[in-house]
Amino acid sequence: MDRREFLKYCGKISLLFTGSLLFAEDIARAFVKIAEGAVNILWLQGQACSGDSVSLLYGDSPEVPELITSIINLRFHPVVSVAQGELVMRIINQELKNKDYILCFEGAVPYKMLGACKIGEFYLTEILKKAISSSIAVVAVGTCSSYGGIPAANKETGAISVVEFMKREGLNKPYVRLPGCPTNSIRVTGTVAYIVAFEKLPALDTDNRPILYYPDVIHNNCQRFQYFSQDRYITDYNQKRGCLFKMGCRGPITKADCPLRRYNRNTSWCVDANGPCIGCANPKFPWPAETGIYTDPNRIK
Amino acid sequence: MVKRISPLTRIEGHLKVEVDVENGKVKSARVSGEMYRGFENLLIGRRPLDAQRITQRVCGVCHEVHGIASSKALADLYKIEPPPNGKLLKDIILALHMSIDHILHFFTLALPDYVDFSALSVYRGKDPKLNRLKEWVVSRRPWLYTKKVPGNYIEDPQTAIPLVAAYIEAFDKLSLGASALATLGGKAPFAHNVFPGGVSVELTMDRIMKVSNIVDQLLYFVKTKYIPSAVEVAKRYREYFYIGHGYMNLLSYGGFEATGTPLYTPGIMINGKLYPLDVDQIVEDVSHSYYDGEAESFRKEETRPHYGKKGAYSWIKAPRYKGHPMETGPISRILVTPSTRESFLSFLKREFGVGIKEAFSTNGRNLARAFEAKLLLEYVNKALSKLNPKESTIVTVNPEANVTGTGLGLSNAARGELLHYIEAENGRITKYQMVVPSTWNFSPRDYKGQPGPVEKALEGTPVRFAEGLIEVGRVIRSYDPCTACSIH
Repeated sequence: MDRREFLKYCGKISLLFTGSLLFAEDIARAFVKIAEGAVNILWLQGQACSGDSVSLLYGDSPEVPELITSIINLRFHPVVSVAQGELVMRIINQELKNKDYILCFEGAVPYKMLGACKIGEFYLTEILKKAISSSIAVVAVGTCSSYGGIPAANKETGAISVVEFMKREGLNKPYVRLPGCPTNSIRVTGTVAYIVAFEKLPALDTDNRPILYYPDVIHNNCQRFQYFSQDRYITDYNQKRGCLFKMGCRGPITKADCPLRRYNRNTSWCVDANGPCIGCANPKFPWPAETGIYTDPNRIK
Repeated sequence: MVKRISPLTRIEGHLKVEVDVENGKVKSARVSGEMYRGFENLLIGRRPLDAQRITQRVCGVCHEVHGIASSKALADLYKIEPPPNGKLLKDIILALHMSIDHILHFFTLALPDYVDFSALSVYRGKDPKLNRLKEWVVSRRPWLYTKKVPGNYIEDPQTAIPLVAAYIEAFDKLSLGASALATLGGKAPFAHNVFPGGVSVELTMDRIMKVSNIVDQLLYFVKTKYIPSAVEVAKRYREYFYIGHGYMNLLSYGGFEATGTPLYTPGIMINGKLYPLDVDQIVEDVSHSYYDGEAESFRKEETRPHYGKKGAYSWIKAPRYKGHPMETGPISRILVTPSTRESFLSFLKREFGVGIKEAFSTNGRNLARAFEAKLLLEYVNKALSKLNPKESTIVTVNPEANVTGTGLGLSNAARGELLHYIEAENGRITKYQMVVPSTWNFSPRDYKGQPGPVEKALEGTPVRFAEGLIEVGRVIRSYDPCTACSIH
């Protein structure tokens, strides 16, 4: 690749991640830094389902080969790394010594029943404490990691988010929340590329979510907002045009960019496929047991 | 001497395996699941319809399977039947998901056990993606691909490079397949428009054509890259037809029936003999698992976690059928169903000159998975042609309905056969139990001391590379481990 091609490529990535070509130079500098091995990514999982990892593997902007060769230096990922067993622990320990990585953490942390999650021969909490202490910054990938999510709905294990874990353990590190179940892969790649390129966190809201990806409640950007304005509601799923509010749609109270950026090669998103938003990026997900996820449309006036 | 792989990577979740090695072979093995979240218990007291959205999140790799299984259990609870479009759409979403899950397994998860990626350093071709990867591997020596355990990898460039090229192309196909799922389900992982009574999406010709076009591309990839790559690996590693044999016990629930001609039939194989399926013969034993209680049917059991229980070594329960540990997966569906058994066995005979006994092996399982990817995509094509955009897609259930009763959902997953069972009273869940494919395969010992299917299959595995245990990893990965699923 010559310099012109290289800058063009950086411009494409800048556009992808920041919505503007302005940052092409910064992205170019970031690549130089990555090439020098300055910033690495360590990806660990707690009480997780690998959904956020799979979302990344399904990613299209960029695809995995482009992502790992040019954008992030992924030192270890439990689903992709060729290593196994002892060698994995050696890699993790080496990174803990190097202290040169951004920690991407997926899943919740069992704070009460420590045996509910182990990595190698250690409790997750032991490794996680060290991994956070030695990191440059923490990216909480997905709803479990950001807010506790489904594991926290079970009180047996004392599951909490990684952010709450940092608070309880007195670990002060810059952090970003990227909720979503799973979170759109572009939020992960964009956030990490931004941190590497600008050596700071992207602009965040009061809950430490990047404003770029969580600009407003879903409802306000929803393609079906007009139906809401006209009081045209769906009360049976065989109706295909209308607002899903009465079915329990959580778009009005959940912040995320789903209607703007959509999923899987910009193909669709839940409401577009006539499924109510279940608020999977909401701090309260999966919602209190009493209220549940959906509502009886006849009850909602 | 006891050796262990801890943690095991390129699988879903937190898994550990300990093997006792004697005279260069595995004498016995213990597989431990190391992460618990407690899905079954957190569902109690919730509305039944929540179960579908919550259980689908048991696993982000097998991301549609629990949602579909739960929707079947709920349909049984609410006593409703989806319209033909609804059934077809569920089958399409499930089959499409399973086929890309198979691609993910073979290339992303399993292939690095067999191929040395540094063979790429002598690549002379013009593929820009391969060249970028080559440049990267040569100049940076990335840990991700170069830090590997010792082993007998394919190193000659003539064989290795096409396999690495297919590995790279597979990422594109995963992303493409996910976009087909999103076309019908809104997004992948986790479609939010699948319900007990069907799928709520607006069925347009536009959507159907888009999915059909992608299915053709996936099918082409499976026929020209996936199956040939799996065959190539099996030819290079012929000894793996005799490694990882396991019990000859198989479980199939049948499935993919919405087109009118079922792809699979239900049935059981014990010691190589076929029997009809009776789900009431299933119990979940917990004598070596971190739970209190006795071996009980899913209709009766409760999940009572007890970490550190004496004699226990895994969070995975031990399902047994009439007391037998059972293997489940593409191999079980294919070998229990007469038509697919015949075609798969003739494929094995033709390509490798081996028979049914060798099908129970590391190679056999990997090949069955590739074979099934083709069967599933062909099924999707048939199902797509039967969709009728003018007809209803769903029977809507009132989420706050005051329902009381039980519901059973028998369904399929990439890793084998999946069962969801629900009990509800006055619109609230009182019991939820899942008996999951990886629970069967990765179960620990039971009260009789019988090893689980994978533990059994590991016995006799040669250990020439004691440092890192590459051979053990290959056998385990042939079952496509999913720890999040197995424990849930």
